[in-house]
Amino acid sequence: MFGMNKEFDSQVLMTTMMGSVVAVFNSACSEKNTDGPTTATRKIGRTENGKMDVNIDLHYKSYSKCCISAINFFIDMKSQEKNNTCGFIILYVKESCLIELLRAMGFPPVARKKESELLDCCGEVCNMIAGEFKNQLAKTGYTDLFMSVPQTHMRSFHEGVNCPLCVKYYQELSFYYFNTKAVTVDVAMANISHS
Amino acid sequence: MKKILVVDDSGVQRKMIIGIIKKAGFENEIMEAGDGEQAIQVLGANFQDIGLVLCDWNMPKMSGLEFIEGVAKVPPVAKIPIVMVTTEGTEDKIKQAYEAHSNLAGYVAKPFSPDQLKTAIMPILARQS
Repeated sequence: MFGMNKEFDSQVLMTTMMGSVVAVFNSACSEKNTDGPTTATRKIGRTENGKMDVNIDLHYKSYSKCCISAINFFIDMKSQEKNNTCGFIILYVKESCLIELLRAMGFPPVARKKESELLDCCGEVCNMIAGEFKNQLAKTGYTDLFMSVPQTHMRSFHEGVNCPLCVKYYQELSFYYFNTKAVTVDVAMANISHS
Repeated sequence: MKKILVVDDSGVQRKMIIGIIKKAGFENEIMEAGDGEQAIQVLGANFQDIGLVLCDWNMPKMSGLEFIEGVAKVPPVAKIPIVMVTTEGTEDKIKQAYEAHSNLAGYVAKPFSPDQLKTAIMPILARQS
C-alpha cells in the first residue's frame, strides 16, 4: 500500500514535468523556447469545497488573460470512478500567444472569436503534456496513472481543481515563446508507488 | 470505397486527423464520433460501410478502451481494423489495448506527425483498395 498521505518528491515532479513540456513542444511546435523555463513552488489555496483555487494565483502568473486547462490523475480506475484524485496538471496559455502557439503546433487554423475551438485546442495541448508526463513517470518505475479528460476555461476557473488534501504545495513551471512568458504549467501530486 | 470513422472528444483533433487523411490523398468518406458511446451508435448503423476506425482513449461517457472491448465481442464489427490514436503511450496501456482487442491494427501516440499517422493507416487502406 503506497503512502498517499504525503507529497510526491518535488524535484522529481518538476524535472519530469519540465521534460514532458519540452518534449511535447519540441516534437509538435516549430517555435522554440526563447528563454527560461522558470520555476516556483507555491502554496495551494483552497476553495470552500476543498478544491485548489486556481484564480487566486493568476496574478503570480502575470496573466491578465489566459486559457486554463486542467487534468486530474488517478492511481487506478476505481479511484477515477470515485473521483479520488492523486494529483493534477493545470496548463495556462497566455491568450495573446494562444493562436500563434496552436498554429506552430500544427493545429488547424482557429479564429480568435471561436472560443469553443480555442478551448478545445488548449485542452488537447494539456492532454498531450499530461500524457507525456505520466508516461515518463511510468518509464522511471512509478505507477502507470489514469487521466481525466481536460476541463478548459477562458480567463478563470471558478469551480477549482480537484486536489488531494494531503498536498499543500504545487510546482509552477513557466515557458517562454515569442519572447514572452507564454505557457505555465502547475503540477502537484500525492506520493504514488514506485516499483 | 470504405468509410473511415474518427473517434475523439476533441473536435479540433478530429479536424486535424481528417485534414491529414485528405492531404495524403485518401478519398474515403469520413464519419465522426465524440465519444465511445456515439462511436458504437455510428458503427452499429454503418458497420458494413466502415473500413477503418481511428480511436482516442480518454473520452467522456465511454473511453476508447471500453469501446474497443465492446467491439471485439461482436463478430461482424470485430474484424474492422481499429487504430488507437492517444496520449496513452506506456507499455502497460498499449498491452491493455491489445488485450482488449486482439486484432487491433495499430497504435499512434499523440502528439504525432502527419507522417506517423499516414504510416499507420496507409497499409490498411491500401489493402482495402
